[in-house]
Amino acid sequence: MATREAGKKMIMLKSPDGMEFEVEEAVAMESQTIRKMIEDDCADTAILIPNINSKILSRVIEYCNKHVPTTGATGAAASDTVAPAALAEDLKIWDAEFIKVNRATRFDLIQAASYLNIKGLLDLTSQTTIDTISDNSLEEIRSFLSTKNDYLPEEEQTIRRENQWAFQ
Amino acid sequence: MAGGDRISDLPDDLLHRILYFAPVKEAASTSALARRWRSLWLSSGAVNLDTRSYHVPDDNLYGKRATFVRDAHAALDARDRHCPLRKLTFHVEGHGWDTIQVFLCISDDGLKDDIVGFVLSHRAARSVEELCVDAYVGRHPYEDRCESGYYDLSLASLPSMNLRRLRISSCASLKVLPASAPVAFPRLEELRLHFCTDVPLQDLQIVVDSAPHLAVLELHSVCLSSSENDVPGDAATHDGSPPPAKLRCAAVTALVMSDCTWTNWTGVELDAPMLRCFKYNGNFREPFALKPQEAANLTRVDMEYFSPDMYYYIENNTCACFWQCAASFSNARVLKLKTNQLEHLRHGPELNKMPFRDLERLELEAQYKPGRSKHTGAAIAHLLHCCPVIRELRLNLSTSTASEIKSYGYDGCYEQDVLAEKDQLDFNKSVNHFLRRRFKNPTMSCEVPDYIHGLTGQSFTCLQTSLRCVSLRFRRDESNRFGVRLAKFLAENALVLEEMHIDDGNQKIWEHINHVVGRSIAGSASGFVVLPLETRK
Repeated sequence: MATREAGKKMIMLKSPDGMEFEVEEAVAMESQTIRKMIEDDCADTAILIPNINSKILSRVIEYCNKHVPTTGATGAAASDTVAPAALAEDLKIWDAEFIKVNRATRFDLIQAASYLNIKGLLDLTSQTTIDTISDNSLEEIRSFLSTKNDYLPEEEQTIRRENQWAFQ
Repeated sequence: MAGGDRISDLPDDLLHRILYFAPVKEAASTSALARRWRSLWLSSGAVNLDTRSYHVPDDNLYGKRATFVRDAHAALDARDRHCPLRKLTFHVEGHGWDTIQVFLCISDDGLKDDIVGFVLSHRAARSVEELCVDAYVGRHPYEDRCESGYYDLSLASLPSMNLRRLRISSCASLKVLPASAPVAFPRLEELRLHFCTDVPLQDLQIVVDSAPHLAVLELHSVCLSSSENDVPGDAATHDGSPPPAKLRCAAVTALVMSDCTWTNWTGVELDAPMLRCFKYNGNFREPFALKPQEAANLTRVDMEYFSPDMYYYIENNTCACFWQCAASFSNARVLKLKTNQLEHLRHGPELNKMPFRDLERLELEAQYKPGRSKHTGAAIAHLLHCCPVIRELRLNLSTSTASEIKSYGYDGCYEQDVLAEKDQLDFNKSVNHFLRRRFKNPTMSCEVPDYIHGLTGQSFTCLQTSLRCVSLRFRRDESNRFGVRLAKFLAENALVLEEMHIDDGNQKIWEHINHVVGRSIAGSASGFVVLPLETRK
């Protein structure tokens, strides 16, 4: 929108690579980490978000913009934070599109969601990660996760016996 | 896989978080990945039982079930020794509703069985805060829904003491059984029932009453039934129809009722004093009402009205019913109304009734029939009349599909309207007029077919005093000039307008309107901008 309602407080978010993003305070406060900074008055002008580059930060802001409880130009529903999940079928479709990203980006999004403490985004990225690796064999998952099998052969046998049901 | 993933670089708590969503069989098998992974799955806090982990053909259903139950208990045993379980989910998928039914509730010898209840009786399930029981035919939850549910569940058997979120879908019979059992959901915050075919209202009421913190109640495609002693004979209304169902939700702040049916009742009366968000999706053949004056905090209302019916005779009833329901929302600040038959609202509410007197934002997403712009205009006019203090108006208009129009031919009105509109110029001519104005600078005249039935010449309080922002989205097709006319009407008549956003599918009408209207109000004190509506990806 070209014009902004005077009532809306804006927050500047800075990425380490020098980009600045001006977002509504309500949008920024989708992140519990930023919310806490704002509530503790540690954020007068701009907040530096370490470790999250501008590309990922802009995606995160896109997510928060979409998920912030809707406020109109009037701000009529500003206080309306009640259970947006109950009214959010459209959002699920949007989420499914949003998360169609490559693995590197998804990994960055998980870390960003974790650092910024955005529960919805963390759930979405986690669920998507699980969806992409289930149905694979253990060896495939190992290679997918670049995990090295550091068990001794007899150790692995013990583990497999402990949870025998999971390997049948 | 080249490069691999960096997931292994994540700290343990994030890996727990990811495993929280994994089906339990896959989660447990990660213990063999590497030393670090050995007990990660045990601390995820969740056991997700999922039939998709078992690649067994349906003809070995009992074998598959035995394995499913064995694994469920093995997983719960392991969890019991470790950290407390927070989430337990059942995801049961089958090729047909009968396989799901057999899987969940018929034992080898044909007797009634209860797999869900058996698993839930495990000691480790007592600490559960979130419980989901989902049963699907096919891959998608909303595909191929069977008319009847697949299994029975007794609410009294659920591990209820720590439960905060409960979601049950595709249940055939959801009851408090045995009836004398005490039911307590002291921590329950969310209750979602989807596609449940027999939920006695009385039993639902018992659960709601026993959950003092229940804030979210969602009923989607739920059939609420009455037991015989529910409806006293003398409570029938004067015309002989049954009384409305009554549901008390003392603490509920968000309520969703979509496609619910009420057997042996006429509509529903809700007593929800704390309600703040309400979503109602239905056919408006039966009324619902909030107990008058009860929901003082109700700010946001979503109403969806979709009618597959093309029959003319139900329209009047629907219309009256809609306004009757709308009367419950006089406190609402935001209303989102979605309908596939906007012209059904061409009759307004009763005189002196102002249903949306506090409404600040109206979002209307509607389909209307081309050739019936008279009724569409009247419907929009009624809505505007009902919203005297509205500041923001968002309209998203589209025309009904061709097949719908065809089947609509029955009532004869369609052709009549089409003939009437043939007298008017078509869209391209209207654009030409705009263009010509641009160059010739004529005075605002009636050379463009501006007239909209119900709107033109009428006076609207909101247009004169409150409407600041309009978003208008419409798709131009050959028979549709309604959006253009509406945009012009609002541009010319909304006196305190500050912003107008138009998306007409790249026709750039906003430029023309900006030009013409900008000139026409240049002399007046108020000015506003017309902008293309931002299209979100």
